[in-house]
Amino acid sequence: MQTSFPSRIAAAIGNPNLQLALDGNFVRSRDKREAAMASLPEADAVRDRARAIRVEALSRLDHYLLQLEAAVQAQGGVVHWAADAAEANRIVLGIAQAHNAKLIAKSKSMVSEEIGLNAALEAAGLRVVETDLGEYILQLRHDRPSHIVAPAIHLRRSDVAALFEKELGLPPTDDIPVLTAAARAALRQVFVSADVGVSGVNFAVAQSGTLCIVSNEGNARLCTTLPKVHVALMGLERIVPTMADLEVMLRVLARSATGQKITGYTTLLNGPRRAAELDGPDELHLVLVDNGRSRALGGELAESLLCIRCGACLNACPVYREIGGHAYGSVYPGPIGAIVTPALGGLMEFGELAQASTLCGACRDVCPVRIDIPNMLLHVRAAHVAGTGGAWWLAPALRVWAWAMRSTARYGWAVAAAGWATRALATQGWVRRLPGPLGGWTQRRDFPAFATETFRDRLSRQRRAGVNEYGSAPDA
Amino acid sequence: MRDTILSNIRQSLNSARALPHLHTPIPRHPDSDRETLIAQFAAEWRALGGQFERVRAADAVAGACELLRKLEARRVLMWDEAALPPALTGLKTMLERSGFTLVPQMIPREALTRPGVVAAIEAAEAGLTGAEAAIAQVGAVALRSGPGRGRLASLLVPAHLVFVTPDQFHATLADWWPRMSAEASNITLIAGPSRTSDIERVLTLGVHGPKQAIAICVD
Repeated sequence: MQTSFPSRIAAAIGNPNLQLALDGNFVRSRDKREAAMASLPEADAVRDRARAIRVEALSRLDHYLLQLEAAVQAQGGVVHWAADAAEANRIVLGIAQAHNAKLIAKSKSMVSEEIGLNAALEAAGLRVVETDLGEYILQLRHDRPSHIVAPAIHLRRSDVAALFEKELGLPPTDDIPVLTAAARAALRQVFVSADVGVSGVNFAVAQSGTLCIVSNEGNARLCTTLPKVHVALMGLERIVPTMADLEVMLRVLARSATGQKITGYTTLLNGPRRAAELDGPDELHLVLVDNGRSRALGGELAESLLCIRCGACLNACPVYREIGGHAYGSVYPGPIGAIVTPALGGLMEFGELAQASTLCGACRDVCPVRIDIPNMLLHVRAAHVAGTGGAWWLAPALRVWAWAMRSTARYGWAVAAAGWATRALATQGWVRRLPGPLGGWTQRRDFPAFATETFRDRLSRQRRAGVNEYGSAPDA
Repeated sequence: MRDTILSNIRQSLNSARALPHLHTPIPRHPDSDRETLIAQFAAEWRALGGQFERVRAADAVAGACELLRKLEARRVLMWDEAALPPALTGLKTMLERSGFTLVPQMIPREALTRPGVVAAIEAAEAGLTGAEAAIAQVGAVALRSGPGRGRLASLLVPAHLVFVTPDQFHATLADWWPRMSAEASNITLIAGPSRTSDIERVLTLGVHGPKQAIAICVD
């Protein structure tokens, strides 16, 4: 990402097309999620249980990974361990080359975005085609996902129509079913001739070795059924201990992600095609991707590993709602992205993402596994400032602030001085530009001038007059 | 590499603070009678864009043929009769006699013959399957793969007809879950037709999977 975070934010807010797309996403996703949660009367208890399941999985992650490995192998699957992105890409490429693969059909996987899989496979001369409609659109545009669940949410139908006209020769249309049908026809050819199918994993069950993959379009089913080889990529934290645990997670996943009671297709895979079976892949490979997770598990941001990638916090976030996913410049956007990205990629490199939050707590309210996102955002901010040293004036200014706050008299003088200063700087009650280092604050917002009468002054005046703020006598 | 990753995890767990969590019991739903479950399933399935039919066992074979005629489906990808409700015994013979073409389900493992078979299956106009369960609360059917029960009959066809029997209806996923077969290589829960909301979050039916999903309860 070449441009700075503030300039990406400014560009997003100044893009009217993006603003319309984001507004539409916000209203639809909020209403659908609320209705779906209301259909689960015991939602609060289920969310507590979902969190407990994920906490248990993380707290004995080594044990569950070994159990998963043994169970997948017992079913005839092959398990690979990848320490980082480069190794994960090498493993997938190796599997593809061992089968002389030329064409790879891929269903949606955020881990594959994280490790840059497509670029790595294409560099080796393979053709990779994204088959999720949103991801397919983005691939044709050489664009990136802006949302964990709805990757092309930043685009409007006119953008897709122009793209399909150019790339698929589709006559101009704003009819979404026509656009969808064009993608279906183009991708059918890919499914039937692909040599390898690559998918993500929503949950892996340690006890049984079951891989659970959900999709609405059916592309994940096709990617894991038609090609002779299926490669499933998963972040090594996406594990649940038992099948019963998986059922609990499924109760909250679709409701949180898309506002559905259940996803269109929920597929449970237990190894490759068996001897007498009619279809399905001959080989199943599971790639466990670490890429910073084993280290993050011991740090302050470990709780971010509970995440099940539903994207509810993105839809709820007032900042994401205005700036969209691309402004973050990270693979994982939004509130959870501002924790996951520094947790996996480093606090110094990605810590500034945590500044893009009002700490309102909407993300924590909707999180199906109750991740305390605001608390961790504060931690990321503190660690980032401690690491970068912060602005030169920040530490002395905070010392002066602390000194002023420790005495009632000094507090009174400070408020009086600040009130005088803001009123002097304000036009029509608003300060448009603060001086010196404070100017950063007013770059993107106005500051209200202080009231002429402080709260303490008003309170004592009203007490003297024997009235409350409504002008009537207080209760005896 | 495996050992390095595992030792990193163990090192991290040694220094990690325990994450807080609650143990809240999940209340159970009261049991509903069968007819209530079937009605609830039908309402949910229809709300998802699916079609729901009910047919008496004696009329099941004729009813299936009639549905296929209405769909104008001539080429049919069908599970083995043994994997369908018993009331559909004789359906295969009836379809063949009535001029339908039954597409072979088996995809060969050999690279040479594979493309031709895949192309034939891709040309099928309807898929006929049985089910393991129908879940009323969410409007989903569960299908299990195995000999005679291919995955593509519910996937690669424009219309999917799934036959269920009254004893297969369950209130919630949790009610059926312990009865699920742990043996199958593939179990798929299907909730209505294939769908997407990837363009402007507007719902569109029939992306990569079936555009029509028809559940038929055989009494």
